[in-house]
Amino acid sequence: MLKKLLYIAVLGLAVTSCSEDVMNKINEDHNHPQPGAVNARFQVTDAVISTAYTTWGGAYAWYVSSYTEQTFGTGNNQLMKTELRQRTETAASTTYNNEWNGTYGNLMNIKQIIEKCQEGGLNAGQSDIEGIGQVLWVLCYELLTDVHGDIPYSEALVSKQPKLDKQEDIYKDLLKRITDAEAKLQAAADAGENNCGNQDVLYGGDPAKWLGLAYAVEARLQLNTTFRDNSAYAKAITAAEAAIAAGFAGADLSIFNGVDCDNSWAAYNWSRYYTGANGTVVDLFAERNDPRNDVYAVDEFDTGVAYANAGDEAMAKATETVGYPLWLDNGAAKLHIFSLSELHFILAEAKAKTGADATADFEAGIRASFDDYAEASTVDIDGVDAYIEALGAPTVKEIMVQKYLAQARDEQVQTYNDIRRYKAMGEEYITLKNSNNTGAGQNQWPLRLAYGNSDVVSNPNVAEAFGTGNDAGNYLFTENVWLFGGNR
Amino acid sequence: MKRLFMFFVSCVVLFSAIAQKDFRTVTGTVVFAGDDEPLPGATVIPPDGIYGVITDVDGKFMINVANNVKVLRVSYVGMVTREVEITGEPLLVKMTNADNTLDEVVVTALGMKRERKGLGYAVQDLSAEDLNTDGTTSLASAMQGKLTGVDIRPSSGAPGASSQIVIRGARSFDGNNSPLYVVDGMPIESTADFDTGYSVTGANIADRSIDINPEDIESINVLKGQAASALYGIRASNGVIVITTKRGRFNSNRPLVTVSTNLSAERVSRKFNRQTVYAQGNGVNAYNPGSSMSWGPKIVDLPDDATYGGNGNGHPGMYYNPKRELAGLDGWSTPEIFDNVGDFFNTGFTENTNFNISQRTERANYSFSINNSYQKGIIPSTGMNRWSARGLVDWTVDRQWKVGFSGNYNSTKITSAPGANDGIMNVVYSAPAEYDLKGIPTHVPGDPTQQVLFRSTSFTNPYWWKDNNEYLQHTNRFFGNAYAEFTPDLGLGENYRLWFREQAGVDSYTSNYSDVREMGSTISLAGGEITNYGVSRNVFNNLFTANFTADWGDFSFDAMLGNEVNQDNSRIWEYYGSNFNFYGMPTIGNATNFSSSEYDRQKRTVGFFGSLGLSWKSMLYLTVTGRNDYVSSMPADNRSFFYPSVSLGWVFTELSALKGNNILSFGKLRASYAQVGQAGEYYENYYYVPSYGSGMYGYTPVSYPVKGVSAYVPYYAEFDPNLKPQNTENFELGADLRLFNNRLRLEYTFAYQNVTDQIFAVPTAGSSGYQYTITNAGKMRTTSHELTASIAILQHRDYDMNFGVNFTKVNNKVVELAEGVESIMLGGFVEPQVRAQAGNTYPNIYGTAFKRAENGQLLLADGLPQGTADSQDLGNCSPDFVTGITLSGRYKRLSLSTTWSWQQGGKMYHGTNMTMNYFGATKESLPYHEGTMVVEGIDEATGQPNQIEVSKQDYWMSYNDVTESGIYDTSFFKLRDLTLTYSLPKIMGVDVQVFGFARNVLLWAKLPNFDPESSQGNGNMGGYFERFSVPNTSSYGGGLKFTF
Repeated sequence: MLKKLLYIAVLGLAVTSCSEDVMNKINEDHNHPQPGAVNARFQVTDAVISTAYTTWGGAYAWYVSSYTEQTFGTGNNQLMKTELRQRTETAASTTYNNEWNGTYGNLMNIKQIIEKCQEGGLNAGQSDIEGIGQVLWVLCYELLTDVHGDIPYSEALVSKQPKLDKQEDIYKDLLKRITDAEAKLQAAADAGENNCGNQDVLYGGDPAKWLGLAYAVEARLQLNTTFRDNSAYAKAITAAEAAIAAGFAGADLSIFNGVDCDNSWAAYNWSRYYTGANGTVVDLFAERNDPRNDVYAVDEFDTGVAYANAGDEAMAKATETVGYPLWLDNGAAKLHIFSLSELHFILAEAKAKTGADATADFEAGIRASFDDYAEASTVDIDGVDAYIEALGAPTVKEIMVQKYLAQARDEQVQTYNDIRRYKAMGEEYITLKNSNNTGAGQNQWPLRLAYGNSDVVSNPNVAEAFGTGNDAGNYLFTENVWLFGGNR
Repeated sequence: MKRLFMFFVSCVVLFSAIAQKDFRTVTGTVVFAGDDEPLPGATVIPPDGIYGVITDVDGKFMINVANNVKVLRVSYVGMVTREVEITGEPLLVKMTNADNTLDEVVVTALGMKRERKGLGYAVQDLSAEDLNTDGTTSLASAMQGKLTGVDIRPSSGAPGASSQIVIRGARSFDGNNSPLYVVDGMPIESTADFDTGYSVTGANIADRSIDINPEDIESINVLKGQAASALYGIRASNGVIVITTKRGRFNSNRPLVTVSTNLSAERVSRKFNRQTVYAQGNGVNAYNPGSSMSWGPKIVDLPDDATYGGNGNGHPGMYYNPKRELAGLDGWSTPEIFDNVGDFFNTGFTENTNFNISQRTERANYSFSINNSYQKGIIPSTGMNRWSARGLVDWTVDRQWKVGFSGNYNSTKITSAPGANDGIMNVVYSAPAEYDLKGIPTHVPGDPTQQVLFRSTSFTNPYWWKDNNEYLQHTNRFFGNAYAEFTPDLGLGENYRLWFREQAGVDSYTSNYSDVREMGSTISLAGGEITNYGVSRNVFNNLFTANFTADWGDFSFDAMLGNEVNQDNSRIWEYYGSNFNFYGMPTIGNATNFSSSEYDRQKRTVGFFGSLGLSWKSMLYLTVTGRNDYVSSMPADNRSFFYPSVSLGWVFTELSALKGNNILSFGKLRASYAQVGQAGEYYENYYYVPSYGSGMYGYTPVSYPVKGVSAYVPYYAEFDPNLKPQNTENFELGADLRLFNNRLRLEYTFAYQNVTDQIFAVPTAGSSGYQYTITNAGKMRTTSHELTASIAILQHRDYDMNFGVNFTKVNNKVVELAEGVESIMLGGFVEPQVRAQAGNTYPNIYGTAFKRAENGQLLLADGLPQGTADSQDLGNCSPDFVTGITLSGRYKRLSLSTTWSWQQGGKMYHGTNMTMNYFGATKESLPYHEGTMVVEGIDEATGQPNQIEVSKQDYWMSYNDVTESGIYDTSFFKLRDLTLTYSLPKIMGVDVQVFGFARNVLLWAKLPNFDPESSQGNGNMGGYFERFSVPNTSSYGGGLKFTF
């Protein structure tokens, strides 16, 4: 009998096998790949989509478009509060938290893409992928620093509590990186490399097209620095012309079909109905007898309200009342990472500012915008020739107005930069009309946006910059970012 | 597994032929000591025996016992169990009325039986009679109000609603704080298959304790402190709930059959009564038939409305509502008041029916039962249907061998309703009083995908929801085990005993979930979607122990060595489909877009353990235990952990100076120390396939593959390769006193827990590139005071009255989190959230506060209150203390028992109250619909007292837009249960009990409008965060129980 028990005991111990090897095997994760095993081209796909969807086409743009008055915040909730310039909404660190985290998360992906292309990495020597990574890096960080000012940069993606870097230093590095990317992409194009193929949903992996985008991005960076550096106009022209020479025809994410893959603006619209057409834009269209107004201010709810004037309290509080642009119902519309019209308007502005003839670029910008409006709204918009003719020779003011109108499509973050840049330069080409921009005796129009909540809570460096209690976020209304005249 | 079963089967066959030993017959009479009247129904059984007899109507018994049996144990419900020596003469046993349960043997960790009076730590047990099983299907609800140190937070009164059970405060910030459930010696899974995450969307998901039928329970023993549970090792840091299921009680030559049924009706425990004066609209000047709010003109004035009024417009006394017309009705109607909330809720219904057959014979003990529980929720289309079957056999093969098995099967099907952002309650509560939510058709005539609702159909019409959408949970589960016990004859006499026990069991289940949203659910879900997901789980548990006891006169000694293996295999899947071809068939097959995922996981825990016990003169009891666990789910170098415990009990009334005195009948001091840990879920860092769906999106607009390609990115959480198990150190001190011949009983326990190396997802700054790091950080410290007092106020054969109070005060303090981390999120929205915050008790609410001047006055902007830009601590959730009160009495055949709960202090975020205030829907909003006011406060711009006049509506909306306004005190006092039972005289050999009950009926709460015991989530935030949750219920019912 005892023998039998011993057998049981031995059997028991056999079943209980718990050596490290056995335990390691049990704990293996069969369902997820290890970082080292993933070819960087599989990472490029989401690096592109996230840059467009989260960073440039997400909540930053949705909120900012109320500040730039390119759309009207309605629906009696967050965007109503934004339209009414309620400080709690504007300054809350929670407002942009998803996009803040999403952008840095994407940057972590981009960083690992770049690292894999370096010596010893899985994609060592693939300069096309490295160049793509650098362009996306610059695009993501550009937005972050443009709207937030000083941000974690040199220690970001490394430290758990990275310090803040000065915007001036960040811009220096971004310019350096974009130049580096241009070289890499040029080399890749020359060598006929294409390591991404259809994993690159923007350009099918074509380094030549990426090279065009790299120059376009450089042109925009230069333009953004013109308040600080007057010579930047010339540099912007050089870069923008290089982009055109490289065949840049726009960086438009066109993965959407409106069925199971929706444009971020349409998805947001259908989820919330927070975006209306704004009277500020309608007035500019009306002054120019602009046919684009027909697709911009559309009475979608059959309420007789095709648009609302900036700051209209009743309309901000209304739900499903204020009309909105047609393209917000087109889930298949392209999402801009960098539109062709923007590049032309950069050229036009820089040329006009430096005394060169801007006519051709001005016209090309308008034509690109008309095409874009029409395609996104899936209707024809006629009369661009007559329209251009009626506008006459371009002035800086009209160039900026046309850029403003073109970017009302989905590029409002760059408009927000332009408005702040011109304010810094003491010029004003777009008159903001929202009476809530001042209230309670103080400025309510944010000069910059609040940091993400995750850093305000978990990174003492950001927490200190953001402030606490009654003071939290107050600097957003008083201090410009460095690019536009401030010092942080 | 199969092999082990075969082994048991062969054991059974092998030893069934062994001959019986010699027996003799003992007779006697059992009487009540007070009046020497006979006691029918007393149990007489040899102390180590598994079979016994019951006394007849004259109190007489006759039992066959083995020749070597020297004493008999006599017990009777509510009286002191006695052991009497067999003298050869007929025995006369006098029973005293006094619930002194001290001499009982209690089942402690790993099935070890110990004398209750010698335990060095607190245990609390509940018998079947203590549980309030009528009118509920949930074990948690059956235990509420009965236990000290145990916090039971139900999520709602919905069928299958989860409950969060936490013993002596939390130990994990964001992980599992639920106790381990052990049923008939086998640990089983009790947590929910899926946690509800941040609990802001979707329906509640039942926890798996729903698979335990409360009616099957014979007794529950709650091991609260870590010393009590340390032998269970790594899974036991949250305490253990040891459940023993019902088995045959009395030795008889025929089976005992029990059939019982109870039925009850449920109503909302506290119905929201909204204001019925003002109509739909954004302001008092204009009716707005599309607004979500009720700030419009007075309902009686609707016919005068400039746009929609019928006066002067050919429809005198009427008003126009375009939604009526959209639904195919006449758009013009006369203002009326509708009770939309009352209309929507059904009367719920609960039925529990049980059939049990059991028998205890000299050698065997079996029990078999079948149960059906059926519930229809108060929300239309919700409900639950549970079928279970259970069987167990214990068989004493001979003096050396004992074998047995126990098996439970059940099928649980639950349909539930969503809360928070997907909630339908939002629409029900905010429906304007003049809108006939029930009467107006839910969709455009002829097109069920075009909903009609008083407001934007970004929310779903609740009646449309009931007809079209579904949240289904369906689980099939088997758990059970088989064991063999071998007690070799050592030939050393009765004072030495050695036995081995091998037990193997499985817990195996498959849960299928289906979240169905038909075409037209909301604007963003115009095409509809379905998610079919589930988990299949198989847990194998093997336990082997060797036990030895020795009795050396004044000293007794026991020792145990053992090994346990737990292997857990699970597979999780999800199939998602959207954009149905056509309405009316919301199935995967009818979808046009698909995505799917599968995930499998294995875990193994291997433990080696031992225990030593030494007692002296029934006065001093010392126990030392140790266990070493090896856990697969930790990094390679940190898999092995050792957990010790030591406990000491001193029965000081055994001192000769105190022994036998009538005032202090019994007194014990106890002390214990233990360490137990918790393992984490460690993986090597990996990549995953991302998707886009959070924040402003009401659905997932982009998911991979996209244009035929997929994507991989670094996972947003990072794993610390140096992760080590978290540690809980526990000290416990206590005293048990019995006074006045045991009529007054007091038990007090003080426990101190120090939790270090917490494993949690430390939220990291987004700029680090990750959102979380899974690592060890932070400290939590808990002190708890638990006091139980019970008084037998009246004691008589014919009547009695008992009063009991259990009091718990737990202070669960977050001492520190990771460096630089101020707080971590447990659930909620971007704002507000339930968080763990350093320096606060766990957990607290975190959100925007009012901007205030230094003197505390509101700091106003343009005359209106405003919130801070950052989130702040808005209050601690856990209550100051919780008290359960039981009062019961019996007169002859009629007995009454009541259970009351009193919770003092504690805070919750009540989003429904806050939003309904903001919407102008509450009665509290009534004074603010018209007129202007000057808000008291300081003008932020000038620093001077405010003089700006604002509309009252603007004030009320601004005020109720700041989260601080939605924080409420959760203090309440409620009658949880009242049961009246009448035992009829035996009719034709059948005992019949008739009973009536009411549950959750009287409620006094500080929270306005709603029952505080209704909230979002099935995790650690449960109970503290409410937003359009499914409400709690009261139930009234009765039942019958036949025994023959």
